[in-house]
Amino acid sequence: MKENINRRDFIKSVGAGGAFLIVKSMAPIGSVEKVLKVNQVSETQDSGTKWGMVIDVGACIGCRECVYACKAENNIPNAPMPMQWIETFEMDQKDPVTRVFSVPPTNSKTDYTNSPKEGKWYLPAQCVHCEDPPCVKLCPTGATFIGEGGIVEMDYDKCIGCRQCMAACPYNARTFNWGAPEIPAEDINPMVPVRPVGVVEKCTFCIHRVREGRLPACVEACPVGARHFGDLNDPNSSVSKILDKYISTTTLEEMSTHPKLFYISSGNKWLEEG
Amino acid sequence: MESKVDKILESMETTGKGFYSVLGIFGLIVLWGAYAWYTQFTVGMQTTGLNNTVMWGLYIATFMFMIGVSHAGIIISTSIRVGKIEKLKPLARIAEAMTIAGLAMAVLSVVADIGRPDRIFVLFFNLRVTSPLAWDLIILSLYFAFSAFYLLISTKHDLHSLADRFNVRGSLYKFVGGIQNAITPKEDKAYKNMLNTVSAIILPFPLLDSGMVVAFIFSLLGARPAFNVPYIGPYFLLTALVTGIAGIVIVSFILTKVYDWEEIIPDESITELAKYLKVGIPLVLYFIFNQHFTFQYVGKLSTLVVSNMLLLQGPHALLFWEMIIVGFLLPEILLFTPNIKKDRLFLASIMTTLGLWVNCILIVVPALTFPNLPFNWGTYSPTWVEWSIIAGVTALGVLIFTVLTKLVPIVELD
Repeated sequence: MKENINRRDFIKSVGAGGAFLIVKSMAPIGSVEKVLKVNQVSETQDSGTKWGMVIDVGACIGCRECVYACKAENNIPNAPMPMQWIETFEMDQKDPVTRVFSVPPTNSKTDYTNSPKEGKWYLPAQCVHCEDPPCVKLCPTGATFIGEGGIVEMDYDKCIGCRQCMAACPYNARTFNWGAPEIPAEDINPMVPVRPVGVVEKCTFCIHRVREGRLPACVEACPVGARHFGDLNDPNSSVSKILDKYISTTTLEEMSTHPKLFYISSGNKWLEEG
Repeated sequence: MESKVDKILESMETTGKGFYSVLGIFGLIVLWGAYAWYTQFTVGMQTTGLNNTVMWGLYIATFMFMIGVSHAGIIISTSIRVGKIEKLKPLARIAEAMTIAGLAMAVLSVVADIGRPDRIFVLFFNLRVTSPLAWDLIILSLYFAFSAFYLLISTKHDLHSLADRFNVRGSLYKFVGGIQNAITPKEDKAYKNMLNTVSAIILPFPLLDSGMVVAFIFSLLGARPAFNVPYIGPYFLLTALVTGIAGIVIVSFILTKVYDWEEIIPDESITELAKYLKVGIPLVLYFIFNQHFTFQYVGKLSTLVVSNMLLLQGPHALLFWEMIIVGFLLPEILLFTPNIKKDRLFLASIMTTLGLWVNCILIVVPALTFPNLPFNWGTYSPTWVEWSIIAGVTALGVLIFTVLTKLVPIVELD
């Protein structure tokens, strides 16, 4: 599949939506690019590393291996309340993509079993590491911030647990420690801090692994290679190459958060291969 | 005139059965609330009905409500100073004491809501200015500081005359009187000017508070379409002001009954407030109607579901219609009965106050139950811990007010 649509233009025209058109109609004010960038938190991300992820929903079989790998890697507790940073949805094939990405269709679910099923597709969702994250803007203490490579990070020592960031997150990507996490000592990964009670946590793109040059746990665990991770600013990285090849989309583009997690579909792989 | 002053002072000097039973009952509720809060703090917020989808509930709703209670002082002082409604003068000090108690209750409700109250001081060292919560902290601190300062300087003459009357408390009054003399000018004219200036500074705080920073906590959430609408500010301001008015009616009615103060707080003073409520309640209904009319007519799913949840289906709908009928429509009819007496106004105010508190809950919860991505819809029902903490916070507010009535003449002496 070869596409002539430039990825950036595609994201801009679809993503910024109505606002973009209005801004365009007021062109004399300044360049559209400039106006759109006004409320972006960080502009430094255009240079240097910009970590991003691509998920191929056509390949995803909904096996939840990424969920389990993530839980084990990041010390995510099962008790006193089961938590997870990645959630996978079973979606109906007949639902148009636009509907899926903007409002919840009632026939999707997270508690499915026996995947993959015919007539269904699977959508893994997690923190999308927005370039303009509402959570960072609204956090009163700076406990959540844009860290190295554009990753939205948490400082668990600064979090006062007001949950403003959870209310602000359009992706429901954040979970709160409603009780003190109980993890068996032998299961604790020393590379990742165990969070205290009363703070918010979320996907970190496995920053502790990325720093060592390893892939995030979910990417490594995916049995069908549906997840890709790399530097979006490096034209030779795997993610850049995939995004050049396929039409991509992000979730909830109308929120103008500019996610760094992209979704593509390379066709229904598991159905074709049996 | 002398007998009026004597009567007020008598209420401060004598502590009867009623006073001790208030202290006892509300003290126990405060202790119970403290126990619930201790449970929540040690076990974590899993003791509440909150969850990752509906992460705000009773606490935040009560915070909004209590901010409204705190506007009582400004409503009355503005009516007297700007509106020249002299009838309301006996209620001024009561309303100012309500401001202090209301703000204390509001702050405690928020402290109950945050997961790490032990880290509250992190806020002071790491305040991020782009956060509406930071604006709230700043504006509410200023509001409290100015209100307390006003109460301090405006009681100068009253406390001065009290210093010699009391044995034990006399030294306290002398000490406070010393501070008051130090910070206020001696000449009467300059002193009056100072009072006017401070109350003029406090005047815009309802607008800054309910109308802006409290509303911004919700309206700046782009992720929640039912919050993310521009009228939230004026809507919150209106409901807060009506809460304040209904609150003054309730408190001054109870004080009049308890102390037998029919001459000190005349009936006309209290029934004057019926006019405010008569206008306020229909305006609240107007906002609610416009909101649901827009959501229903446009039919955009993200807001339509929130609207339907209130109008049509589920436990919220029952509560919503109860609120509309019992909280707003019935009191409005009561207020329009001819020859309104303060008893009827009191009843109407209680109903309205309950209605407005339910309204705060119904603003917060349904808008959060509906995630953007295909997660399951959230549900929320408060647990005993939440009810107990809210009861404890309210009881503490009552205690603060009751103690204030014993320390400061709650009706101005001259």
